[in-house]
Amino acid sequence: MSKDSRPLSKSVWSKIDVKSWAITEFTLRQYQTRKSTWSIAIIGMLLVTLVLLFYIKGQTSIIESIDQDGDSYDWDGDGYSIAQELQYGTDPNDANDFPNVTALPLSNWVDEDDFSYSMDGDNCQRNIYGIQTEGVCQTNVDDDGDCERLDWVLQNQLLGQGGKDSNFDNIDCSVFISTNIGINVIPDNYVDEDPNDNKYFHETVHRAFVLGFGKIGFAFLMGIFLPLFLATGLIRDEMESETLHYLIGKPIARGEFYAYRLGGYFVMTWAYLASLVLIMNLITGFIAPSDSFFRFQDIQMWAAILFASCLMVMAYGTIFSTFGIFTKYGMLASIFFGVWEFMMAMLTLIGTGSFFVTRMSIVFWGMQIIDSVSVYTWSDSEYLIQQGSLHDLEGHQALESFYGVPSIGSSPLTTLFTSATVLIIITSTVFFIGQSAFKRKELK
Amino acid sequence: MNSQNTDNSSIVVPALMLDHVSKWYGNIVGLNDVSIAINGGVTGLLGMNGAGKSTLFKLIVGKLKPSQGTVRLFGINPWENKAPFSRIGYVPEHEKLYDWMTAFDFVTIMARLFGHSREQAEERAKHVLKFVGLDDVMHKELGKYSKGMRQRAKIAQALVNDPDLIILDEPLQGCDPLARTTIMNVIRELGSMGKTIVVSSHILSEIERITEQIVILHNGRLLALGNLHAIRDLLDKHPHRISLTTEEPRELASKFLNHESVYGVHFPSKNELLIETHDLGKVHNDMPFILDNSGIRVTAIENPDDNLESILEYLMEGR
Repeated sequence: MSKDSRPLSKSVWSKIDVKSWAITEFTLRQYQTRKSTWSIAIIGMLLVTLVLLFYIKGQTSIIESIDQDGDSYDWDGDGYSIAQELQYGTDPNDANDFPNVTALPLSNWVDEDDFSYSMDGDNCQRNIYGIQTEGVCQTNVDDDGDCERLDWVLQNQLLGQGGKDSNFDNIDCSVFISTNIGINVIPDNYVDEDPNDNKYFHETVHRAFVLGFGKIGFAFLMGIFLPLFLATGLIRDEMESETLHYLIGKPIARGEFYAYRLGGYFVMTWAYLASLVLIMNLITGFIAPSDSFFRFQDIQMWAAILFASCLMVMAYGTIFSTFGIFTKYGMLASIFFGVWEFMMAMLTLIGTGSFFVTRMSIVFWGMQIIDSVSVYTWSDSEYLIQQGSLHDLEGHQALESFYGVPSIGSSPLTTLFTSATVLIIITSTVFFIGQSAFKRKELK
Repeated sequence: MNSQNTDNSSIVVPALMLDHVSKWYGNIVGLNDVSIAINGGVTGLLGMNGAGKSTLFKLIVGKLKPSQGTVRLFGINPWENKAPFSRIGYVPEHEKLYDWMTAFDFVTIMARLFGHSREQAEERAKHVLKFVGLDDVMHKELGKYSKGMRQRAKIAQALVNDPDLIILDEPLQGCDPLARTTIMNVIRELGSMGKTIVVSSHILSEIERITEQIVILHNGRLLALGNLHAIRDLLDKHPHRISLTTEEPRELASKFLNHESVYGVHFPSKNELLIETHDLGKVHNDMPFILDNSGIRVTAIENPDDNLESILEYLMEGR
C-alpha cells in the first residue's frame, strides 16, 4: 500500500458510514412527507396535553384537611383542644379544668404529625412472637408528642398491644423500617398518625401520574402505536409500491439496508419521545410538590421512562417491521400482537409480576425498568401507600394502582439491567430473523 | 453478444450471463431454460407482454432467484455477493418514484447509496441529470414531472454510478414522441460509450432505432438472438403485405401486378390497396419508381406485417 492510499478498513468503514447515513436520512425525510407520521405525532401531543391538563387540575386543587387522630376537638367547650389540655394535664372532658395558658387555635392540631419516614436510622430488630426481623429504627419522629403521653393514649383506650412500642422494635414511639421484602414501614401507635392530607394527596397523585403515564402513556401506548404506524411499513411499503429496488439494487447488503432503515426509525421515534418526555418533565417539575423551585429528583424517573419507552419502540418496531417483511398482512399481525401486549400490560399492572405469563411480553420488561428506577427515586412509595391505606388518605389508591415492585432479580438494579438486557436480546433476535427473511425475500 | 471468448492469454467474463435459467411462479413458467451471455453494446430484448422480459430483468438485478440455473453478473452470483451492483444501473418498468423528492435529491441519494460522499453525489447527480436533459428542472418534485421526464429521471439514477451494465425495462413505454427520441438518443450515446446495455420493448420499431442486436423471448423461452437485420432479411422473404392509401387503388394495383415479387392484390376499402409479396425489400426498393411512373398520388404507406407479432409468427413457424 502506498503512503497516500487510505487503509482498507478506513475506506470500507467510511463507505458504510456514507451509506448508513444516506439511508437513515432518506428514511427520516420520507417520514416527514407521510401523513401518518404527522397524525401520530399530533395525536401523541394531544394526549400529552390532555393528560397534563388533568394533572395540573389535580395539583392545583386543595384537599380538605382531616384530623385523623381527633385531638383538635374541644369536647368540653372550654376553648382548648384535647391535645392542648392533655399537654398541660387538664381534663379534656371538664369545662372548668383547662390550662392556664392562651388557647391555641384548634387547627394547630390538624395535620400536626406528618410522615417522618426516611431510611436514616440505626440498625435494629423487630421481635414479634419469636420472629425476628432486621431493619432500621427511627426515633424522635412523633411530631405532636401524643405517643409519649401514654396516659392520654390509655385514656382513649386506643393503645394497641405493646403500649408505646406497638411495633415491637424495643424502642418507644419509633418507626421501624423493614427492608426484607420490599419496604415495610411500621410506626408505633400515635406516630405519624395525622399527616398533611393536601401534601399527601399532591405527592401521591404526582407519583401516580408519573408512573401511570410513564407505564401506560409512554411505554405502552406510544411504545405500541408509534411502531404500528411508523415501523410496520418500513420495508413492506417499499415492496408494495415497487420502489424498494431503487434502494436495494445497490452494492449494499439487504441486512445492512434493513438495519439502517430501522436506524432512521429509531432516530425519529426516540427524538419524538425525548421531546415529549422533556415537556412532561419540565411542566410537572415546576408544578409538582417540591422543596425547591423545580422537582429535580424526578429527572431520573423521566429518564427511566424515556429509556424504557425507547427500548420498547425499538423492540416493537423491529417486531412489526419483521411482520411486514414476512407478510403483506403485517399490520394485521401487529394489531394482534398489540392486543396481546395490552392484555399483558393490564395483567402486569394488576399483578406486578405475579403472573408469569406477563414475562412473555415486551410491556412487562418495559414496566419493570420504570418500577426499578421508581424504587430508587421514591423509596418511600410503599410507606405512603401503607399509611394512606391505614388512614384512608385521598390519593393512595392512585399510587397503589400504578406503583409496582420490581419482581425480577434480587434488587431493583438487577431488575433494571435484566429488563433492559431482555428487551435488547428480543430486539436483536427478531432483527436477525427479519434480516434473514429479507435477505432471502424475492421481490415480485 | 453471446461472447464467452476464451483464449490462452485471457478470459473475458461477460457482463451478463444466464446459464439454463428457469423461473416458475408456482405452476406458471416465467422463464424457461434461458442461456445467454451479453457483453458490450446495446442489446434489444423483444417480446410480447408476458413473454418473460421483466422476469429476466428481475433475475438479472437480483429481485428474483432463479428456480433453476445460474445468473452471473461480471462472473458473480448477485444473490451471494452484492459487489456487481456497483457496476449496474437498472431502470425498472413501473413508473413509481418518490414523488415528494426533487430529481436532484433522488439521484443524489441514489449516488450516496453507492458510497459517494454528499459532495461527490451532488456532482454526479448534476452531471447525469444534464446528460438526460433534466438539468433545467432538476429541482422540481418528481411528482410534477411528465411521463417522459420521469423516465429520464429513472435513467439518470441508473447512470449515476457510471455503470458498466445498464438494464432498461421498457424505457419508452408511455412516452411522447419527443421523450422517446431523447431517451433513444441517450441509449445510443451510452452504447457508443462502450457500456453494456440491455433494453426491452414489445415494439420492434423502437428497438430497431436503437440497436441491431436483439434477443427475442416468447412464452418464457429464448426464441432468437442475433442481428436484427439478419432476422428481418429472413422475414422479408416471408409473405408480406404492404398497404397503400390512394384515391385510385385499382389503377395503382395494375402497376404493381407487373412486379415480379408481387403475387396478389386486395382492396380492403375504397381508398386502400393491399399488395402481397414474397420479397418486401425488393418491392420497397422499386416502389418509388413505380409510383413516380404511375403519377398516382399515395397518401400513406404501411407495412402491417412489419411488427413483432409477425416476426414471432414467422419464427414460431420455423420451429
